Amino acid sequence: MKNNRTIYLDNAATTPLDRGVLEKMMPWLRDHYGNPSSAHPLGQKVRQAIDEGRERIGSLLGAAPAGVIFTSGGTESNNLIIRGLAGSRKRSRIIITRLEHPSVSEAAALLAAKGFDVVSVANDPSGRIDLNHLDGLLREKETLLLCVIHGSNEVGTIQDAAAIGQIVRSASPRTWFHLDSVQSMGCVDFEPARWGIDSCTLSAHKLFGPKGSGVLTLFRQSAIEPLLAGGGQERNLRSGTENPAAIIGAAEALGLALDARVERTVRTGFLRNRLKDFIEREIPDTRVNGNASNCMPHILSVSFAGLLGEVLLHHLEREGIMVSAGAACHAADSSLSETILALGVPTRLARGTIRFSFSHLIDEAAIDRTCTVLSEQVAYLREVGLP
Amino acid sequence: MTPRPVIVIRYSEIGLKGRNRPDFEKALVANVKHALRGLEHGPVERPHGRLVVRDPADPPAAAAAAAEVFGVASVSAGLSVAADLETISRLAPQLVDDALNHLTGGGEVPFRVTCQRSDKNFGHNSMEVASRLGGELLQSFDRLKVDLKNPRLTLGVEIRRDEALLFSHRIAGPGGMPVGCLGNAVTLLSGGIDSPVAAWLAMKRGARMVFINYHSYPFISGASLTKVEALVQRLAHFQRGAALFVAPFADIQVAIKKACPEPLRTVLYRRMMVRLASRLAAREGALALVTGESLGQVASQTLENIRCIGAVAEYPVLSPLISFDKTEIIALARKIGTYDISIQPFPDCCTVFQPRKPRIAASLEEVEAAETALDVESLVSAAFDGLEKKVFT
Repeated sequence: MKNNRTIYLDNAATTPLDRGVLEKMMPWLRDHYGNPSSAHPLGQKVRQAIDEGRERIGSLLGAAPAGVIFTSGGTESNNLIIRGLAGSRKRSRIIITRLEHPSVSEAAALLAAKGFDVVSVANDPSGRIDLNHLDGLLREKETLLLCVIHGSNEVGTIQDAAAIGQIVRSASPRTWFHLDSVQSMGCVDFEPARWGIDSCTLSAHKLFGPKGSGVLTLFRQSAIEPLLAGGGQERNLRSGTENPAAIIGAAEALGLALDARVERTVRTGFLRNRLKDFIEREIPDTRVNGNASNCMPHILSVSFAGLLGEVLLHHLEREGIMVSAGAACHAADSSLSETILALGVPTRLARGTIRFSFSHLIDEAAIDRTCTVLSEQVAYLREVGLP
Repeated sequence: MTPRPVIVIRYSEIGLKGRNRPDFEKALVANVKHALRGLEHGPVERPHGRLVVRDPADPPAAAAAAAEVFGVASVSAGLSVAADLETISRLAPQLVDDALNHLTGGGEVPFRVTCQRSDKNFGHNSMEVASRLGGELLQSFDRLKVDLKNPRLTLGVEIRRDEALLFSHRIAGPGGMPVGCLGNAVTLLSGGIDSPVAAWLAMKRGARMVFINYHSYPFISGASLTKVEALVQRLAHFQRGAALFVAPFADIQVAIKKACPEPLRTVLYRRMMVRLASRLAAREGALALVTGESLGQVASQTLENIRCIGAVAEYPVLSPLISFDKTEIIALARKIGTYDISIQPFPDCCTVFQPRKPRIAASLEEVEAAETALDVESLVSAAFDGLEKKVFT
């Protein structure tokens, strides 16, 4: 890396741990080592802290504390609801979207292999799902579960959770509606009751909290089979000694994110648009992916014709700018991401997809430098041609 | 004197090397000591024609480590005992019993006793010692049967002035020459299967390797270097550490892609690699280049292309694998522990701007003509100035 100053534009991958969150976590790493399942005061002190964290998250999300299940992160939360609900139930339909995170699509694929009828709801080129198609899928057959990624981790498109919820209620009220809100949490006003969702997924490290800390929040009761057999913690849904620091960290991070939601999203959206406007104005033969009006303020997916995303990524990284590649790793590798394919991005563009993801911690100078470097590197790589 | 464990290390070829022999032996001692790093042991002595490692804490481990050192013909873990026949005949059954327990299969075991006597004042000659011990052992062990020509078990006895060495098992060493005794060479190391094996073979004949790798960052990930580093780490084991120089190669590839005919790219890349390796050889005091070339294996390895590539070498290009089949190379790579590293799926510089149809048989004239479109000197100098050195111990 030539440049000493790192410009971190990969906040959808993970965020740096907030110092305030770390401070709240420290006593539970350093001092209070009791096992929350122990009957003595050392354990009970930790139990109490975990319960407070559970209550706090429940009240922030509008769920009963009993519905807050602590897990190791987004992947486990999604697996727990999908595989746990399927459990011993009869094989029926599961509906997902084509924009899901692998923790949903791969979990659904496991169930498909067991005989579940896993179908994907269609979407438009911006990634918004086709509500009529969804309605048809729900009416056509008994559906156990609908999983929707609220905000796409790759292109940023936000689904209309309220409209989806309404369709579920009228077409198939028994269907469980799970919202993967890992990326959207803290971006939009969270209204589970109005939307009619039955569960949602949260990951602390996307919100300046610790890694290895997630929550599955349940808004109604149902039989769910645990993934792990063991000591019966978390209402027998997640056996294993709880991680108090991770739980306290998740509660604190979520609290901060929701408290500061408006100012953070305004700031983040401003930075995103600054880069987006520049690209649209100055770099020809590009495509901004996702939905223009229904998008999260922290994700900007752009496809650059005539180059490879991963190669551009390394050229930006050499200049200190950290981003993600959205699609193929190499010219010889034709594996394009399912999300990018679902948007119908032509291959020549899709291969050159980059995801910039922002946070309120970035300053405008960093964005301006990114604009300059990006336009130089794209021009250079287009001149050089595909490797 | 109580019996003490020893490792006896025999070498063959360097015993023949006349006036250079002391240098070779010193190199061997140093290499053996390096191989025994981390294993507790006493002094490494150099009595005539042998190395003896005193008091190894874990004799089988020490013997196995010493048996990987180039120049070693064979290794035995054994005992140092008092140089008198009574002691030897008292302790010999222990070693034989132990050796029998390690043999697979039952039934009769053909065996013999060999004796060497460097202390001619010892009261018995070699024949007498061997036949007396043999007779005693035959009485003690029903399974033994004398077979001087094809023994499965040999009890070795070496009688010196102040000790006798007893051993019953030999591990074959790799042979060859002690690494370093024949000077340095630069290996052009890709992340593939062949070049690490080529380096190992050249080390086996006594040359010490300096490694150069060509890296196309940022056209490929910086993480792909971890594989090359792992290969050098593994190879460093055979030669008391190693230096890896990583040459930034992307600018050269871009220049070739822009200015030269596509089918010639592979040959032109490799000429640039050889130029850089030659320059490194000069700076590092190396005397040859080593490549993993195997005749006809890929497009750059036809005789025509090898000639075009070698034409810019300022040092002899050694290609120990030139006559090897891929299956033979893979078998060796597995044996020396580089195969599993080499097959990790990381891209290397060869995949960048790969021509769709590389020229199978380039002529030197067309290659040189193509290079007139390049500022070869400044491209090579820039890459050479950008070399990054990593040292492995």
